[in-house]
Amino acid sequence: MIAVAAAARVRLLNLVSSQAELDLILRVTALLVLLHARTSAGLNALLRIECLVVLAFPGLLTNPRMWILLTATLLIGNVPQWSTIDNHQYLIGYWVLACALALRSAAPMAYLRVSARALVAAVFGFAVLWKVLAGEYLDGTFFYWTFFMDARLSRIAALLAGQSVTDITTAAGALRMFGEWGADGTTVGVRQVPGVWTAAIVAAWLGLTLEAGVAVSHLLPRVSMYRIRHLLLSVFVGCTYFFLPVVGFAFVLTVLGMAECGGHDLRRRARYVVLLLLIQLTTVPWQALLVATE
Amino acid sequence: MRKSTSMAARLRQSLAPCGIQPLLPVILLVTIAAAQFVQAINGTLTPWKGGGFGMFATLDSIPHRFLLITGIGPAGQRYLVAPRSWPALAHLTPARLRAVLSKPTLAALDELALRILSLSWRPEEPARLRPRELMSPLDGDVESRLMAYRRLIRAVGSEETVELMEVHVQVRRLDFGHGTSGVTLSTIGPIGIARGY
Repeated sequence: MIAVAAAARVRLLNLVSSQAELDLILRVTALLVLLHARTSAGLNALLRIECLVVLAFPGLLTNPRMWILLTATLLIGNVPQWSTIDNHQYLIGYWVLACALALRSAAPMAYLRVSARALVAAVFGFAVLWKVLAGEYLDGTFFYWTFFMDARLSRIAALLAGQSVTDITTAAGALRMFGEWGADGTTVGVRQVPGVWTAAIVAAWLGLTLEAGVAVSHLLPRVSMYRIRHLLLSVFVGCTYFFLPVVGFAFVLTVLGMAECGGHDLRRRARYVVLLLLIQLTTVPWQALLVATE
Repeated sequence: MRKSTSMAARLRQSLAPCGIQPLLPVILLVTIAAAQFVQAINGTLTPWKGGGFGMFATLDSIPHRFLLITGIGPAGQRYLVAPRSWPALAHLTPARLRAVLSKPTLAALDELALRILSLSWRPEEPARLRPRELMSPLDGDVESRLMAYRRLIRAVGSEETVELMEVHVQVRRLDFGHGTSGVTLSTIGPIGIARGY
């Protein structure tokens, strides 16, 4: 068993070192776009074909025109639907643009390293800003109601509230029906569930601390922050998306972390490759293992 | 002063190989996110959308926003147009509905109202709540909820085709309060109105 694990480790290190660093980043980016990027319905097929072409022909992988084409396909499709697409679609767009611009520069990998770090800092900076200013995050209100209203968390909510999953989903359905049919200005009274409030406040502050840590460690230009910023980013991706599986967001953050790694830091790059594989497991319905009455 | 000079030097060092160019994508991100922030704070855009990275910070998301379409008949009677009628009446695809809910604008709501006004329409009855749902364990104040539903059930129920004289389209959201302050339904943004002659 130990021998198999050691062999797998050696193979993984060979994989990330045998590929040129730039090739690896561009390949996983093309894979990211292939699997998780969205554009308009009419351009989705074209986008996939472009990705397959980039992945299949090594000569095109480092061709800046190919990456400009990918950027344009994303841009043309997503601008008309700017108010409905998810935030990670924006981030994928910025990163593909960074790849296109980097390939036109004299030092593409140095370009991508700076771009990746700045993008992570800005994304987490805005995420923290919203959480502090929105007015319903810090006191636990956001997570309290998300536990009940988000189907992905209904089993956890049932466990915390000591109620059945059916009770939780029925209550959420009733509130949605109230939203569709209720009279304007009507208020529905609710009974508090103390256990869920406590969990909501803990989850809110843990999340905020972790996000603020990622933002600050990426903003500070200190070399000593290098390990901390990679550790915090990996912990964020590993923990957050385990509970709320947004695989596309986890994937793009992992690619950015991988691009940030120093040229000789093969181990950390290998860890990000492992993380890329692990985040695919976030879609496994592990919450079904929680003992909650139906 | 000395410390800030040192930090600036480090920043210059890290940008040295390519100059300021690697920051172009992040300058674009910050510009769009700042515009989204202003639109969400001052306008009707949901903080979850628009590239401002406000997801998982507020409950004002698309699933908590609802479209309400009200028709007024020739004798002044009011009808609620049931959601299952929307696709047929207004060609309202799920993508179009998401766009309207994400950022309700007067132009979009007026257009929807006009589409519905131009068609003959038969009122439909909404799904009624079962007693179990009304006695939901989260709901400590059943009476106020019952009153709300009685009001809506009175508003529908005809089987005859109706020529609507006026159509109102509005977007509402659930405002979740802290503690026992409850959940309130409130209108956001403008109300689209179309009138027949």
